[in-house]
Amino acid sequence: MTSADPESVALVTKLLREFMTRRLGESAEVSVTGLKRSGQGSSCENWPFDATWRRQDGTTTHKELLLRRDPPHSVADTGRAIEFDLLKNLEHTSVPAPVVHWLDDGGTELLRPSMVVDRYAGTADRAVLRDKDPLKLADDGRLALAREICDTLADVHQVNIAESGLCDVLPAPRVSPAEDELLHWEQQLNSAELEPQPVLRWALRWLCDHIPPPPDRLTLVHGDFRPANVLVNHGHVEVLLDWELAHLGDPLDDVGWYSAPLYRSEHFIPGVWEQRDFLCRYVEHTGFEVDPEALRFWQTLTIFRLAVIALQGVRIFCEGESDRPAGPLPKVLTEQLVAVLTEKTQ
Amino acid sequence: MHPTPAELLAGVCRILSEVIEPDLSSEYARARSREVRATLIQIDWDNAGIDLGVRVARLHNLLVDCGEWIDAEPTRRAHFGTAGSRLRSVTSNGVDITGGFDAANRQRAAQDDAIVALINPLEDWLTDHPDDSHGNSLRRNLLEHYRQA
Repeated sequence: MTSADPESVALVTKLLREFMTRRLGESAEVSVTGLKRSGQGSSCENWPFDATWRRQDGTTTHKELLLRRDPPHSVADTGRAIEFDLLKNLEHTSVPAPVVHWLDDGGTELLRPSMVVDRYAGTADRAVLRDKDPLKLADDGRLALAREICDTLADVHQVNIAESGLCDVLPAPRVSPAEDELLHWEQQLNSAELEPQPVLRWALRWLCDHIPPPPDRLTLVHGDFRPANVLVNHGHVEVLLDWELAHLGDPLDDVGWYSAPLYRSEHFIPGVWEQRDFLCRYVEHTGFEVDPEALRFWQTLTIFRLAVIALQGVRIFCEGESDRPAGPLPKVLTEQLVAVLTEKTQ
Repeated sequence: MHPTPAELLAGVCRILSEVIEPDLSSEYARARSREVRATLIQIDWDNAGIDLGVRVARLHNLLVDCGEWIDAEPTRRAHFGTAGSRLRSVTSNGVDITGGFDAANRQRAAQDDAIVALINPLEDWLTDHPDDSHGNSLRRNLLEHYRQA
């Protein structure tokens, strides 16, 4: 590796120390240790590290931190500044969001747009609710966690977006949340596809024909709410991660994402925690109605989005701009979209 | 022929897993290597070319059926307009799957492009003519083709 290599641990350590020194002052004598690049993260690079610095009162602070940095070509297009401001505003709410410290929005100091956040103990495992029980929570523990995850989503949707200042951070939908999201993801498809995608174009038509009415109220939408983005510590939700896709919109957007057929085996526990249990608890906690037709739209949009995200990965891989290999569109996505499209003619 | 493409890649995956990965000190590099192996086994390498040829031939037949259905009625032909013309253009020269993978892949892309142009007029037609059983059947067959592809 050369000294200009943006993946060089030595270089990033040096830049990080300079970055923090500029914010804490020369007298802070910042030290950065243990930096390494984690294997996780598709829309963002994660670099855990420890930092120590001297405070103005002479005491020493030691923090476990995480550098979150844009990859060369991100599949999420949320600016880091928006995510940073969003997380700052969430510090005063009941939502378990990461505490953020510093931002390099332009990437002028850390080579690419980056932010430094607190690092938390725990594990984010997409299979945490499955029978194989990777965190050894036992049946009762898994059910309790499933309920807590549902409550966390309810908390996200119950944030007062005006009082918390989120209305000033995140743009409101221009037409309706569903139409805005559909337009956004159609544009993403237009720029991602390397060749015609008949099933996705057919699904787009179905979605246009089934746009639900706007919700009674706009809420904060996490945009990628699922167990894979929930850090679990001692069987409880420690923090909700990955806010890159957060926006103001329809709460059913997240509910549809969580309950999309593709995720059912990971997000529910057969016979114990089914979709209906999740929806009952969610409705009980939020007081929001869940219209089945609208939910169907958001679930279908979820599959569509996942397919587009997969195509974005294919494009940047084929263009040599990503070191994450990407094969053809997963068959399960096509199958699930075709299942939706053939419902009315069955 | 041995190793077959699948055998060759299975061997490459084994080397990555048993020889390369244990010696990698970077967690990031190990994760990428695991992804490389997972991606390689997604493909049926031994039959990739044959499957593509079968797919092109099958879709060609479906497109011919669609073209005949569209042309069978003047109002339908007028309704489909340029989408119908594109369909006829794609099917006019028959199907040739002997030209190798690239040629077959180009035919498939042209077929898919013709289908994309067909979607909105077809959906509009079937919305206005929900009892058109032949049209509904063709739509089902096209979607079934993509479900299997």
